[in-house]
Amino acid sequence: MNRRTALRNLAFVAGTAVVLPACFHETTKEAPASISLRHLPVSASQEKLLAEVCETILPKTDTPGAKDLGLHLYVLRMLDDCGKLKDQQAFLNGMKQLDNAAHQQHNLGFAACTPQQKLAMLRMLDQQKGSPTDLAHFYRTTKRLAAAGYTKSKYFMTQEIVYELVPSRYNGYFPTKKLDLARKHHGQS
Amino acid sequence: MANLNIDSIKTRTFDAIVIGSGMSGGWAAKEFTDKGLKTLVVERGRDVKHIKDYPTTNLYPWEFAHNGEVPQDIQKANPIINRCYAFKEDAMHFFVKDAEHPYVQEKPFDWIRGYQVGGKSLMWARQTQRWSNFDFEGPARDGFAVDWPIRYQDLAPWYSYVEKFAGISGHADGIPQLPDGEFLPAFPLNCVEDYFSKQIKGKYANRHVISARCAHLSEQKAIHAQQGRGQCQNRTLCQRGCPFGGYFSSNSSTIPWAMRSGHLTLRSDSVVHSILYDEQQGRATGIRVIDAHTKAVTEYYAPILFVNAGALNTNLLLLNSTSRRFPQGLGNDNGLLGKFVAFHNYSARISAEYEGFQDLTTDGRNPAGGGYIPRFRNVFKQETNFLRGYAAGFGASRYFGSDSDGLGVDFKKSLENPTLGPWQVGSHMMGETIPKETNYVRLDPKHKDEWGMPLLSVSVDYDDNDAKMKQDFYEQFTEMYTKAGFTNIKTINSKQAPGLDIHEMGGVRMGHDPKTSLLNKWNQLHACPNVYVTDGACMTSTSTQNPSLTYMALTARAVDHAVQAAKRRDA
Ligand SMILES: Cc1cc2nc3c(=O)[nH]c(=O)nc-3n(C[C@H](O)[C@H](O)[C@H](O)COP(=O)(O)OP(=O)(O)OC[C@H]3O[C@@H](n4cnc5c(N)ncnc54)[C@H](O)[C@@H]3O)c2cc1C
Ligand code: SF4
Repeated sequence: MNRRTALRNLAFVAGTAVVLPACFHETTKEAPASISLRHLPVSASQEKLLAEVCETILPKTDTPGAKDLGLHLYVLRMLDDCGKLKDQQAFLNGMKQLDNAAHQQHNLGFAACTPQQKLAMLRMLDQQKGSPTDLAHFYRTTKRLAAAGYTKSKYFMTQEIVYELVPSRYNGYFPTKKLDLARKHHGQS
Repeated sequence: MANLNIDSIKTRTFDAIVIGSGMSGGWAAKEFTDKGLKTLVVERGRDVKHIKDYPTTNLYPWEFAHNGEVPQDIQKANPIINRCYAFKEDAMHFFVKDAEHPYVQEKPFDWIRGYQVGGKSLMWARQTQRWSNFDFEGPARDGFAVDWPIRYQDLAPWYSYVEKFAGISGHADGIPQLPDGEFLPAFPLNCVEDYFSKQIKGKYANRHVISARCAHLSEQKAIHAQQGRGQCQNRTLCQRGCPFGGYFSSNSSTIPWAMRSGHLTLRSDSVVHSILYDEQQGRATGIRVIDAHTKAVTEYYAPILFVNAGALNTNLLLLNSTSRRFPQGLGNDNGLLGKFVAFHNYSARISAEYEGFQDLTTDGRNPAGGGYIPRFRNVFKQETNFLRGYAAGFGASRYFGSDSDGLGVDFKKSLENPTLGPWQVGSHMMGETIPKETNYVRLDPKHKDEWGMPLLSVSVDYDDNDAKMKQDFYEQFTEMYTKAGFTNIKTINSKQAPGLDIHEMGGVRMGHDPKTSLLNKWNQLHACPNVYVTDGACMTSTSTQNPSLTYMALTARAVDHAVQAAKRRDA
């Protein structure tokens, strides 16, 4: 499938998903997510889907990936506690639409798709400009929160950069060439 | 039985009572106990002990459940306090929640409060500048409010006195409208702030960009070691409470100091309901206190009373202290109590970018926050179509950022390799507002709080002078930024309500004449001289400088006067 048709398909599915019956994967009694959420009715399978989305955005390389760091749980917790109602609803809608789109295109739920298929679907969303549909909203929210979760994770702040609780210094004329970009200090003001 | 009662009264009688343990109350406590007076400090909020009660002070960013953000349900339940920039996950436990202590807004007013031992001195931004004679002479010169009964010379030695103890960092800049003080070394400006400072000096006669003066121990002197406070470690997490005692707060400094004297009794969780007035004696004799939890009522007695409940709460308390002699509130013979409230106008900002100094950045953190631009409008003479002027903060910084495009391996790489952005500069206005009779607080006639106090009703607004001044700030700073070669200049109108500046003042103003003011030059109620008011309520006008250092100096001066006066009566 070329990119254009895929995009159109995705847009089509996104547009109609709301009126589709609760189809494909949703059974009436789903196991809930592994963490308790107060506002987001997220099921265990949706949690899994989200974990796959996060891992596709931030895969394991020679550094830990989203799954290693549990970033999907960070996304859920931040959205559940700090997200606005409107954003939470769009997110849930968009998440369902992504799974529906995966079924349409690959006859599989998103989580079960191959890494290449996942990447291709999300790449289309990444490249979508303009005001977001619920589907794009879901993707952008997940990406923003996963990235924040990553760069604020203990792993990142101790291994990738060095966060200093106590800098004990201030230099307002610090040469950028002295910045050790391989192991950045986070004492910058 | 009778004896028991007398004993009980004895244990409830002190040499001095201080109402409130915040910035100004802490100073009253220290000064009284230093002078050997048996002192009671009554605080409506809970006790907050230095270090022990700073639950977030040593948490790493990843140890907060929400990355510093305030959860939506807390935001929604607290629309007022949520507007305060410091109301974040790491310090929100120190702020009064909207529902717990309601008040009435006749006009929009964001009342930002901290009810606990230490008051707002725990969360403040620690900017400390002396006022000058341009401020104390302002009302007389420009014909607004009433003349201050004191001048800079009256306060100068007391500024020195409190500065040495609190620890204020800054440069001696020799600027007439911003008197120098007893300074610890200043925190330096960074390269762009310095550059702007030089540009402005070269292009204007009376404009300065200086290192912000702030209540941080850039150096620990013996007096600070005696307080158990160490040098500031540049953490800039001060609003959580500082484990080093690096910045001045009542909790780290004045209250434990007073406690060590052995003369202090601190009663937290105790709401002062009113001040008791005895007609026979013609003086105030004590206070009525409601236990915050049990609501039990107790009375405490002392010959000297200091009211330091924070500007608007001090108004509330005095208005609620009625007697046959003072049916409209203690000392309120002229009906002016609660009127002539003023504040600082913080509603304008201006940001820009600078393309120079690409090879430089900052390393570490600056607790002073950057630069300060003292008032330069209408200082030596009236030169604009508005009265008074504004000071401004100024700061420059560079942030690490990364490309937000893409996903997968490349995106992760870009997060792991952020790059330095351009220099960004920003300034916020701190405008003097004119105290007016129409800006007032009063008791709500119908509604009471849980402790039986009438709710405070606030009617405070901007005026035409504020609008003109704000316009001038935009114009002058756009010109200054342009001359300095800054680009992408953006003016920002926060449209915030009064109050969010957290510099509310007045209502119990000082003055020469009992007909037009409530307090005399020693901060005593004209009509009830054993009651002193030394917090923001006493301010006759507001200056452009931050107010708290002046509250401290006025408090130390007033305690000295009260104790001398008591001695004279004894002799
Ligand atoms: C985020 C923030 C930033 C700030 N930045 C600065 C700054 O940079 N520079 C500056 O100068 N100022 C700043 N301020 C303002 C400064 O904190 C206040 O001016 C100062 O704390 C006022 O001192 P106070 O003693 O009058 O009141 P507070 O410090 O508020 O103390 C009043 C105390 O009285 C208690 N109280 C009230 N009513 C009663 C009652 N009925 N009975 C018993 N107790 C009562 C309260 O619980 C409180 O503890 C800032 C404030 C905040 C919150
Ligand atoms: S900047 Fe100084 S005062 Fe503030 S938390 Fe750090 S060490 Fe303490």
